[in-house]
Parts: sequence; C-alpha cells; structure tokens
Amino acid sequence: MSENASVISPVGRIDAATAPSLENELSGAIEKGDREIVVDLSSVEYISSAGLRALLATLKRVKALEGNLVLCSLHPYVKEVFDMTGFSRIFTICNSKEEAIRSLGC
Amino acid sequence: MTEMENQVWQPLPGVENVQIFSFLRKIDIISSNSYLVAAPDLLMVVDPGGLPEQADILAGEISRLLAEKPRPVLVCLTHVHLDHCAQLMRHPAFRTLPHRIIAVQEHGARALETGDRAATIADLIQQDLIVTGIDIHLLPGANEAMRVGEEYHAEGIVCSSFIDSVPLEGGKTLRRQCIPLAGESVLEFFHTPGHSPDSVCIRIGEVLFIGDLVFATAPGVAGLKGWDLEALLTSLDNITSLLSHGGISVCLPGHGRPLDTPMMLRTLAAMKKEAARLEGIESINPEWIKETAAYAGDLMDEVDRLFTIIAGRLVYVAHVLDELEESGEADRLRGMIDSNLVDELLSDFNRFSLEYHSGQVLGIHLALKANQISQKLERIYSGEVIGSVLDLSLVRRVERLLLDYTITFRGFRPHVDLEATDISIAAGEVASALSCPHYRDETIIDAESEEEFARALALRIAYVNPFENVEIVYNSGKDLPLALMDRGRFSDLLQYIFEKISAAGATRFTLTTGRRGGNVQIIFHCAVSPSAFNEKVRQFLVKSSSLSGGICTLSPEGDGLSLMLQYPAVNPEPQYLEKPNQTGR
Repeated sequence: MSENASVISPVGRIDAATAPSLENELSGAIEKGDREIVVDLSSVEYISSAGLRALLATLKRVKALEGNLVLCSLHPYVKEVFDMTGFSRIFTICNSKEEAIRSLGC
Repeated sequence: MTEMENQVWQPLPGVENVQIFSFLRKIDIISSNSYLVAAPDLLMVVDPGGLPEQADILAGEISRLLAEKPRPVLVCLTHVHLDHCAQLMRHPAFRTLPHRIIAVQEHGARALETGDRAATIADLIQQDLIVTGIDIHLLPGANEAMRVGEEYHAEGIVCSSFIDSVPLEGGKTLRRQCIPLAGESVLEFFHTPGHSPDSVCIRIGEVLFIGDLVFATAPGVAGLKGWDLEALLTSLDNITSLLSHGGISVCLPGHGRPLDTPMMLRTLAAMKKEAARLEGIESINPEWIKETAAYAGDLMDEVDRLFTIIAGRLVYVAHVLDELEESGEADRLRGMIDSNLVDELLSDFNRFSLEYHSGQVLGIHLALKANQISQKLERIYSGEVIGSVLDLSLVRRVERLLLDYTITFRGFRPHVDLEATDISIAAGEVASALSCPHYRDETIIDAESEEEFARALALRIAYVNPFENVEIVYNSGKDLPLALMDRGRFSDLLQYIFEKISAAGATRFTLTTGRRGGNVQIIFHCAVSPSAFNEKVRQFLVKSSSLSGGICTLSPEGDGLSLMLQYPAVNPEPQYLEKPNQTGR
C-alpha cells in the first residue's frame, strides 16, 4: 500500500532537542529521492515551535521538488497546536496513515 | 579590594601571618562556599558546606597544615542550614578531626544538639540530620550578663573568649564575642539574625564573613523557618554601621563571589527597601514547597503551550508573507521572539520536571528551576511587540502566568481583583470576541505605504480563529445577581476552556449562565469525553477558577461532559445566604 510513499514515524516529543534529528531524517528521505512523504504523528505527544519549523522547512523543500508532505494521526495536544498556530491551514492533515497515503495518490 | 582567588592560599587582609583559602561555588541550595583560615596556632573553618567532594578538598588542606604543625581546628558556622554544615556531621575527616572545636550561635547550637529538622532545613531538602554536640554556644541571649575571660575546654584544649560591645552610629552598640587568633588579632562574632535566628557575621582583620545575610530577602529564602523581618532590618542596620565605620575591605558571602565594602553597602541598602515589601510573606515550609512545585509544573505546561502557539503563529504568518513575497515583513515577525531560546528553556524545564517526577530532584529544586526559567522568559519576551501582531489574549495570558508564578515563588499570593460582575455580559464578551477579528480589511485597502500594507497584511494573516468550525450556543440567564469575580482572570479561564473543548473535537457546545443557591454560575455542555480533559488540564482549571474567585466542577453528562464555574453572588436574596458549595470538582 505504501510502496510509493515514505512514512516517517517520530516518537515522543519534537522539541528543541529532537527537532534537528527529525529534520535530518526527513532530509535523508528527500535526498534518497522520496517525494511523497507521510509523517505519522501518532506517537508524538508534544510539539514545540522548533518542531513546527522543522516540518515547515521540509514541506517547503519537498514542494519545491514538486512533491508533497502529509501529516496524520495527530495527538489531541498536537492537533490543538496546529489549529491554534494556523499550521492546520498549511499542512494536509489526515486522521490515519492509510488516509494520508491515499491523499498522496500512492 | 584584595581579589579573593578561588582555592588558593593567600594572605588574609589586615592580619599578619594569617592565610585564607576560599572555596567559592556558584549559587545554589546544595552547598555553600567554605573558607579556611590558617594562623600559626589555630586553624579555622567557616562553613564546611554540604557536598562531600568539597569537604574532601577542605579536609586535604587541613590535614596538610596539621602535618606541618599540629594545632586546634575551630569550626565556625555562619548558621546551621545544612547547605552550610552537613559535611561537618557527615564527612569522616570532619567527624574525626583531632582537636576540633565547634562554635555556633546559641540558637543554632541548640538546633544541632536536639536534631531540629526545621531549623536546619533538613525537612526542606529531605536530608538526614545527625545530632551533634557544640563546644562553644556563641553570643547567648542578650539578657545574659556579659562575660569576660570565659574559657572553653574541648578535646583537651582550652579556647578563651570574651563578650563585649562595639559602638555603632547614633549611640547604638553591637554585641560581639571574641576569640584570640594570632598575636593581637581576634575573631569577632556578631549576631545578625533575620535570615535565621542563629545567623552570625565573623570578622577577621579586613575580612567579614557574612553567611547568607545578603540572600535573606531572596525569593524562596525569605520566609524560611526562623526568618524574622524585624530582626533582619536591625541586622541590616547593624552591619551597615559596622561597615561604614571602616576597616573592612571585603565581605565573603555564603554563596557566590566576594563583595567589596562599597558594593556590600549598596546591597544592604537595596535589601532594606526589598525587606520593607516582605510584610505578610508566607512561610516556606515543606507544604509550601509541595504546593509551589505542583503549581510550577501545571503553570509551565500552560506557559509552554501558549509560547508554542505564539512562536508557531509567528512562523506561520512569516511563512505566508514569504509566499506573498513580503520577506521584509516576514523577517520582522521572525525577529519578534527568539524561538530557539524559548524552546531550549522549555525543554530544559521539561527534563527537570521528569527528573522531579522520577524522584531525582526535590520539589524545592523544581520550584527554583521554574522561577529561573520564568525570569528568563520574561526577559526575552516583549508582550508589546508581539501584541502588535497577535491576539492580545495570548499575550495577556502569558504575562499573567509568569507574574503569578513570580509572586507565588516570592512567598505571596497572586493578586486577585474581585469585583461585582455581570457574568452574562462577561461571558458574552468572550464568546463574541472569538468570532470578531482584531483587524479591519479597510486597513489593508487604505494602506498608504508598502510598510503599512505589509503590516496590515500580517495582521490579517495572523488572525486565526480555531473555533471557526465550532458552533457556540449561548443561553444567557435572566435577572441574575452580580457575581464576585476577577473579571480578567475569568475571561482568560473561559478562553482556555473554549480552546480545550475545541481541541477535544467538539463541533458544538452550549454555554448557559444561571444561578444556584447563593451562587451565580456558568455551565458548558459539550459532546466530548471527560477523559479529553486530562489530570493536568483539570488541575489547571481548578487553580485558575480559584484565582478568578470561583469553583470549577467537571462531571460526565450523557455522551459528553458538563463543566460548571460557580461564583458567589453579590447581595444574594436572603434565603441564599448560606455558605457557597465548596465541594470543588
């Protein structure tokens, strides 16, 4: 099902300490040619502004390469942060990984 | 001022043939500074401190000096808080020191001899306290007759001492106890209660050991067991007079760097002003620490959420402006807050909080850490600048939370401004503000310059309504009495509840104002699971409700939940004059 989409599943907190490694992982996926990326946030219970910036930087990068990045399975707190900051308007947010992969047309 | 080098023997200013070794530490509550003084016929230790590795170094120096020339070792404590003296009781080298004489002010001596956990703050820092005999009870009660030529016998050695008074300004005098040190020079002990009942300052030549005198008005310190405002003011005056008299060039504190006399006099003057504001401060005891640590955790969670929203929304607006090729305005927004630093501070607190919950650090440490982080956040955050772009309620809530914690940590209760309020009007204003943007489209159209246009555009983009897909039904009660509440806090609380209900996935909720008994109330009904309001959210709700003057009750109702806020009615009808329901949630 996910043959053409790369699914990345961070765990725990995405904050000042962990955002750089997530961004590196996402960069690595782009560098190896992935253009359709799903970030599964089902195991992320917290995101800080550093995490938001890391996701936005990746979205901009992948869009410049005519790809896309979709988020799925947001924890209620993370969903709240996306809604309150306006990030929900920038990202495609799906309820499940399967839905996210489908939304990418994979 | 003679520069006091850390852990280097150097001549003690003002006395011949006497050397001093300063063990200086950064300021914390784990251990104090320590000082060694070496005279030809006496070694002296001021405050052995609270850390074993610190005591190892001190014991090594003492051992080397005793090997060169055996002599008595006088251990003096500026006071008996365990960060200053725990190693005197615990460290094997100090426990078995040959020819050791311990000198402590009378109150502290009794505390160590009876194992008083509160007076030694053993209860606050949760350490064991070993009962210890004290050889010299310094400066006993002022009512006792002055004693001349008293001798103390300990460990087969004789230590002579006398008590007299030194004249101060305005005809006042200050009692002192003296112990001969070398030649004509003496150790002079002055009783300086305030920080604790047993606090003393010790003078040798041009040096004054001041213990924790300069920390006596500090948050988390003022209000400790035995802290005494009146005594502190007298001690500040006495030491100011003593220093003004001349002859003292350097003051060696119990924590942090030495101070020269002009700096010390400025510090004492500032402390007198600060002390005058400490009337009515709460007691710093284990219960206070437990409550404050819990409050710190709840509050920092909310501070974290609000800062993430503020920083994230600025990133969002800057991103959209970039897309619109308004990079100048986008950069201005990015520069409004140092998001990286905010993130690092909040991550740091989170790590500390995890350590606290796993029992690695104490409540007092968490409370101190929250204070440190909240002070730093206040310094790097400009509400005025951010409020020029973002929703003012975010700015106001952050400022209120940081201020509340600062006040709580200082030992006071946050300011609550209770006023008679029409709950229906207050709630209606909050509800309508949610759907009312704080920008005007005309501002964009009428912009006369590129800069004005960019700023108006930023303001438009920054308007994010997280409730745009939520239907709010508001039923306003009729003829309700006024409620006694802090209106600003009530508005903040309602906004918080709206956000939490929306985040829980509700697409519709009702809001009803009414009365029950002698109370006025507002009830939220929504179809979300009560479990969406986790324990942290519930704690924050209870605390915020209380600060707004009310009581919060959260209960399941059908497929959803009901959240009720109750406030006492002003001039309720006579039949309702019983006590309001205090059952809480």
